[in-house]
Amino acid sequence: MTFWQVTLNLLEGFKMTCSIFALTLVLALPLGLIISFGSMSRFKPLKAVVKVFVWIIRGVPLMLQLFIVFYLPGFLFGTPLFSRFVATIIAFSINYACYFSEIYRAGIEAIPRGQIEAGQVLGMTKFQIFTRITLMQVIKRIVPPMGNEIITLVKDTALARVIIVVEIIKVAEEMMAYAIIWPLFYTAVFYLVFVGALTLLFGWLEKKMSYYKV
Amino acid sequence: MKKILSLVLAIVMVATMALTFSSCGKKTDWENIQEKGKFVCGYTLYAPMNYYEVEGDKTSAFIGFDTELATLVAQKLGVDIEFQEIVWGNKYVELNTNTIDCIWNGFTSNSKDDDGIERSEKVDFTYAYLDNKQCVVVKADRLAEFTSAASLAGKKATAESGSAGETFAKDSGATVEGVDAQINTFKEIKAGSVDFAVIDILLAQNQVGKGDYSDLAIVETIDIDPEVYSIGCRKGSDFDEKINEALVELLNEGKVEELAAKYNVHVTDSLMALKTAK
Repeated sequence: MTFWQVTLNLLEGFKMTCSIFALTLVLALPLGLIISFGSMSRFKPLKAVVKVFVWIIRGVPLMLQLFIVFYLPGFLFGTPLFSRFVATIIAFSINYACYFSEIYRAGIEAIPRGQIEAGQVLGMTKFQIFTRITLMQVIKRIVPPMGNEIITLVKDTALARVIIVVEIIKVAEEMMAYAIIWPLFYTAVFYLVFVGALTLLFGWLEKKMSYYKV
Repeated sequence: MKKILSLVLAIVMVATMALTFSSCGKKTDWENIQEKGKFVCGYTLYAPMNYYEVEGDKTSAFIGFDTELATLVAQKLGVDIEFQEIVWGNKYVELNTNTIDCIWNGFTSNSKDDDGIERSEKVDFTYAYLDNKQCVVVKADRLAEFTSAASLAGKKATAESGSAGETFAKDSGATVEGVDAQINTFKEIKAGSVDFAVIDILLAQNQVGKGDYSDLAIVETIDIDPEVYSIGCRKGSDFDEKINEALVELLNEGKVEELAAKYNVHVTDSLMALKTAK
């Protein structure tokens, strides 16, 4: 196979890598915020349940979570509930949402209490205080740690191949059947370009978000 | 208190639902397959059994002896077939969680897994349809070190996890590092991380000496007991009988031998004996 053909094949797998990445991000970003509200809730039982949930998800390897989501329904009910791809998205979204939730929590709790009280004095509703005072500051503060997690997500997508989701590394491994090994190393280029672009994007975002700076 | 109570009730509800789900669907495998209109066939990429053809620059059709035979069997049974790639080490999990309906991928049936349990106790096998052997593959420049089975002891080996080759390597006294597909053993030998690999001879003959694998060689002086391939179905399934019926029909039509000639493999004598000559 020529270099060009190998590149085309790998791009096919890279599409899957990008789909896992994008869908996980779209689902995990809002889900993480919801979980962070739960873990900051003043209603104790809810807070306890959410904390235990986050502990379990962060405490179990993502690879095992993939196995659990994909194989466990088949064990219990006799038929699999999700396709391999859907199982991957579910496992990744929940896992990343839990990590994101802690970043959100750190951001939200860093806002001085005085600012919220100031909002109350001005007669703003809870919702207004959150969206206009807290959130605007949280977003800019969490960009660096979020960038970290999101870059990790790009590379974690490679785990999906344990339940045979054909992402880029899987494609490269399959090419070994044509007696060529180098595509496996070549995949690094794709990851590097992708992560490079994300790094630039986050750098730009940080600059863009330097509002409130005197 | 109310909240705890509702939580308990919710758990009970979910548990009941789970039970109802699992108690229904007590139909036989074949009935389920007919209902779905298709069966899912688990495979790993493995020339000459299941692989993609390379035409000049392009990979195209999904072919191979098992691919074509399984497709013919599906036609005979009047259902569709779906090929699902699996990780070989997870084959029993895939089968028992119903994510696949059969393991059809050069599956050695007259062999034990490394837990010492006969494979036939874990799955229901169809008739043995192909002859195979395991073989030892090494770097060509080290061929001289490997003269007999005794020379394998104490060396580092690789094989596909859960394969008959892995069991052989362990039994011969080597330390074995399993990989998740047979083709991944080649890069281990090339990288020098192991001394030898034990894989199916049909695959080895197809790949060794080609492309990046041109510096590898099969050790001809180590002869491992012959083995046979069968198709594995769930324990207690009735699907294996259906496949058997279809296989015999195809055999009588001469299709099995035709395929064997095309892919240069050898149909077992035991299957040939079932042919009712016309």
